[in-house]
This record gives sequence, C-alpha cells and structure tokens, in this order.
Amino acid sequence: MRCLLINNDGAGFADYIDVAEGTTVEKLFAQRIPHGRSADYLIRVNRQPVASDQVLQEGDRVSITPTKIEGAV
Amino acid sequence: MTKRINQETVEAAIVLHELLVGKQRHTDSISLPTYTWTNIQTLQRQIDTAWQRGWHGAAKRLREDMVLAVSDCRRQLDDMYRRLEDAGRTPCHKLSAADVYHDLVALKNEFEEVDIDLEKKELSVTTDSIVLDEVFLGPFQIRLEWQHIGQSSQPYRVVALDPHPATKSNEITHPHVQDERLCEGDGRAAIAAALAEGRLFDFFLLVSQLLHNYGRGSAYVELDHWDGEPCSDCGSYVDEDDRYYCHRCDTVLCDGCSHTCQGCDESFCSGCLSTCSVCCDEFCSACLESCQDCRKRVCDECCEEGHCRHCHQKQQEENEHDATEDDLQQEPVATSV
Repeated sequence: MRCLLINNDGAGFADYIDVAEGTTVEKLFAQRIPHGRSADYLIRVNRQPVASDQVLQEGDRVSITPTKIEGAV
Repeated sequence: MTKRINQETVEAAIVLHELLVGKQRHTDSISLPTYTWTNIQTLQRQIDTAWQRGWHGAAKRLREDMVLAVSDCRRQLDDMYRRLEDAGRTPCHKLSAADVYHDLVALKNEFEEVDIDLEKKELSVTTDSIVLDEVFLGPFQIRLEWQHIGQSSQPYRVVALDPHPATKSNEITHPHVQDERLCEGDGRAAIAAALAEGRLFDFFLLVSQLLHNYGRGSAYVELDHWDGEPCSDCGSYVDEDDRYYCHRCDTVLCDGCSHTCQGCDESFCSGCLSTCSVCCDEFCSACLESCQDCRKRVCDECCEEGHCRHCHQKQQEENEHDATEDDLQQEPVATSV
C-alpha cells in the first residue's frame, strides 16, 4: 500500500512510499529515521497525534517533525 | 456554531487553495539575500566610522552584529543553492482544497488560536507562552502573509504578543527572532518545502517547534545574557545588579570598566575621564580646570591660583627674580667721601 510521508527532519519534501501491510507507526519511524528517538519527534498520521502501535492504512499521510529543531541568527 | 465555523473554514480553504496552487506555479524564482547584504554593507560603513572616531566599544559591538549578518547571509546562500539544486523536482502530491481544509482544521486543534483574515490575506496561529531556560518570552503569533509566498524568502512574521525582549534590543523578542523575522537555522529547508508545497499545517508546526527551542551559541542574544546589557567599554554583558552607569554620558559599564573620578568619586566611562597633567590621576571634566598659562588640564590639588603647579612655580621663581632685581635697583649707591 502507499502512504504519503513528510519527513521534516531535513529538506522536508513529501514523498509517496510503499508500506507493507500491517506496518505500525513505530516501525515506519524506525525504518525512516533509524538513528532517531521517537520521543524527539512529533509523529502525526493524517495530522493527528497517534499511538505508536497504530497500524497504517492505505493513503495515510504521515508527517515526522523534529521537536529539537534549532534556529540560528 | 460548529457548522458556521466549518463553513468559514471551507470558504477560507477554497480561497487559500486557489492562491497556493497559483503560487506553486511561480515558485521557480529564487529570492536573493539582498536585504541581508545591504545590512552587511551598512554595518561595514558603521564600523569604519566608529574606528575613525575612536568609538572602540561601538566598533566591537558592530563587528559582532556583522558576524551574525554574514552568518545569516551564508545560510541564505546555502538555501539558494539547495533550492537551485532541487529546482527540477516537482511536488509529488498535488494540493487539493480538501488538503488545505484539513490543514486548517488540524491547526485549530493544534494551536490555542487560529485567525484567517481573507482581506489582509493573513493566516495566523498563536503559540502557548514560551519559556526557554527559565526565561519567560510569552506567546507568539505566527502570521503567514500568503500573498508573499514564493515572492519573499520569509513570507511570515513572528510577533510577540506579550513581549519580553532582550535588554540589548526591543526588536529581539526571542533568541532567534529579530524585527519579527525568525532565523530558521536547521528548519529553513523544511519550512521552504512546506510553503512551496502548500502544506500549511507542517509550516506552522515547524515554526512553532523552532520557537520552542534555543540554539545556544547561535542566537541574537544568548539567554544567559537576556537581561544583561553590554558594557559600553569592553562589550561584556552586565546584569542589572552589577551595572554601573557613566555619570556624564549614562552608558552602561561593568565593574572593571567603571572608573572613579578622583575629585568627585563618581563613576565614569573611559571616554569621559581625563588625566591631570601634573599628578596623572583620572578626573572628570568638571573636576579639571585649565591652567591660565599653559592651558593644560589639571585637578584642584595641582592648581594654585589658576595655574598648574609647574606654571605656578615658574611664576613664583620669576616673581622672586623680579623682586631681587628690584631690590638691587633700590639699594643706595655707595658714595666715596
């Protein structure tokens, strides 16, 4: 199945990705941000906060936004 | 009530969608960092002037501002480079009015207040009160002026609603906000992408996250110095309790740069004190007077009858010499009988 993934931890482009059936939010996060801690990110599915064990559905919009993002001068 | 709010949201979503799709077609143009570059040129002129006039403290502070401005310019050039590299890439997701509607609804759930002003073409969200490292900064309103998307490098403003600015400048309301402009730092590329693709929810979430964080070492004013003011002589930050003020020009001084006039015992900056030409101690201008002969500035103790000690001594010697000559002239001439 296909989901829209928006990874704001970098360039922030939105991409459609293929996701295996039964993939949870936590599993997708581990696949996409292998060195990150999920506590350091706002993970939203269809713009809503969700439990980490929520199973993704066809057409879901998943956004991953770092909470520790620093400005500069 | 809920139905009416939704109706307004739907109307706003349709209008915004039309505008955002129109903008998406025109986001190829890259904005040049002209504002920042002009600022750098202005700072360079100010530094030259400060050096020429001997305002070393001011020159030091301006040089610090210059470092920040050059750093900002470099970031903008990096951003331009990335955007030029990505120019061939088109958004994979075609923005729909439903997307915009869902973004607006999600914003209302995420933020304390969301305002859509169709006349001003502004979409604003209000953050909660932000406290960073125990420094209260208050709530901020992020105002997206959507007619400027694709035309300006930063089509939004960050307005402090209950400002608690740095003592250094009222324009610095957050370590990374000056003149209502957020320095996006690590979030620049993601923010640009969110705006280019019309993802309003992501845009506001990113800006909000930036406002809730503090990048130590890369702020307009570090939070450690938020309530501090720079010493006019050495530029180091001084907290209110440790501050001295020049009695003459009222500038802020640190303990090490506060000089005491040996005449009136008041504190002065180095620029408002002069040395007595005779004893070489430091005095303010009010405690020095000019010698009537040599015009050198001397303190009260080194001044006698309007003359500095040297001139006074010289005058006394001359007077004594004159008196001796007068005495010699007045002595009776011995006559021989």
